[in-house]
Amino acid sequence: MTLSAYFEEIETLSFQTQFSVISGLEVLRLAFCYDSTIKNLIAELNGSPVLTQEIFARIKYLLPKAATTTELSYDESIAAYLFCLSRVDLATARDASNLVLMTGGLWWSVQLALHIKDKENDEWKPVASIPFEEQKSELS
Amino acid sequence: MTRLLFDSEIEHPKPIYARSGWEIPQPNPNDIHAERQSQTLVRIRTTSLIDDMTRSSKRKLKIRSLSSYMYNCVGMIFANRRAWIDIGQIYDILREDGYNKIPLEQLDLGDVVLYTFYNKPSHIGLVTVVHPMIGQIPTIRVLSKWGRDGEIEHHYEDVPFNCGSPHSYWSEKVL
Repeated sequence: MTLSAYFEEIETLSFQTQFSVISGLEVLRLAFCYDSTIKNLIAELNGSPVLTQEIFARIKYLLPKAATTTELSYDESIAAYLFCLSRVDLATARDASNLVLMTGGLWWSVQLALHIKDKENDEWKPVASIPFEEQKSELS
Repeated sequence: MTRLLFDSEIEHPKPIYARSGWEIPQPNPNDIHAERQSQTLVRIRTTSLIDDMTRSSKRKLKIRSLSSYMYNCVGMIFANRRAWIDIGQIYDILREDGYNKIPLEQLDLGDVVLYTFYNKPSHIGLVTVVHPMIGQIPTIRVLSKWGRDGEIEHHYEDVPFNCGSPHSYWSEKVL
C-alpha cells in the first residue's frame, strides 16, 4: 500500500468515526494498537526516515484544516499519525506534538501530544524491538 | 439571541464530586483546545455511525441528541452532560458513588452497563428499557453518549467496535 493510499484511508469519515466514539485516552491508544491500517503503516515507517518525515509533513498540512473544517474533522487522523510517529521516531513525534499543541480545535490529537511529550526517553523503545503482543501490555 | 452560559469563554471547569466527597478528575483546562465542536460534524458522524450499525444489526438505534457540547458517556451519567470525564476513572467513580456490581438478571431502569475493550473500561451506558426475558435473551436498551458524537438509545449490545462489549452491570439502588 502506498503512503498516499494510507492518507486516503486514514482521512476518511469512516476511519475517523471509529475513533471519535472513544471516551478515554488509554482506549484510544489501545484501539490504534489493534487497528490493522495503523499497524501496517507503522510497519512501513519503521526504519524509513523519509516516510517518517512525510507523515510529519502530512500532519503539518492537516493542522490548519483541522482547526477550520466543520464537515470533516481531521483530529482522529492527526492523532493516528502522531501515534504512528511515536512508535517509530519519538523525536519527530515530539516535534509534531509541539505543532499540535499550538493548534486550536483539536481533542484527541492534543491529549496524545501531551502524552507523547510526557514520555521519558528511557521509557521509549522503537516499535521493532517490541513484539506486537507486548505493545498491548505496555499500555497498561 | 439568548446567550447560553457555555457560549462564553470557558474558564476552569467547575469541580464535580462523587457522593463520598471525592473530586472527580477532569481534563486540565489548559489542555482543552476543543470545548465545542461543530454541530454539523456531530450530525454527519452520528448519522454515518447509525447507518453503518443499522446495516449490521436490524435493531433500532434512536438519536436522542446531537449536542456539540463536549461531554462523554461518563459525563452524561455522572455529571448531567456537563463534563468530559475520562472512562479510565470509572471504577473509582462507581466505588465513590456507592455502586455495586449486579448480575444481568437484576438489571433495572437507571442502572448502568459497563463496557470493556481488551479488558480496559471503554464505555458506560444508562439502562432505559428492560423487557422480561424473551427466551434466554433479555431485551435491554441503554442510553449512550458515544465519545464526541451523539447521544443514542440502543440495544445494549449494539455499540461501535471501539466502545467494546458489555462487561458488567452496576447499580446504586437501595430497596
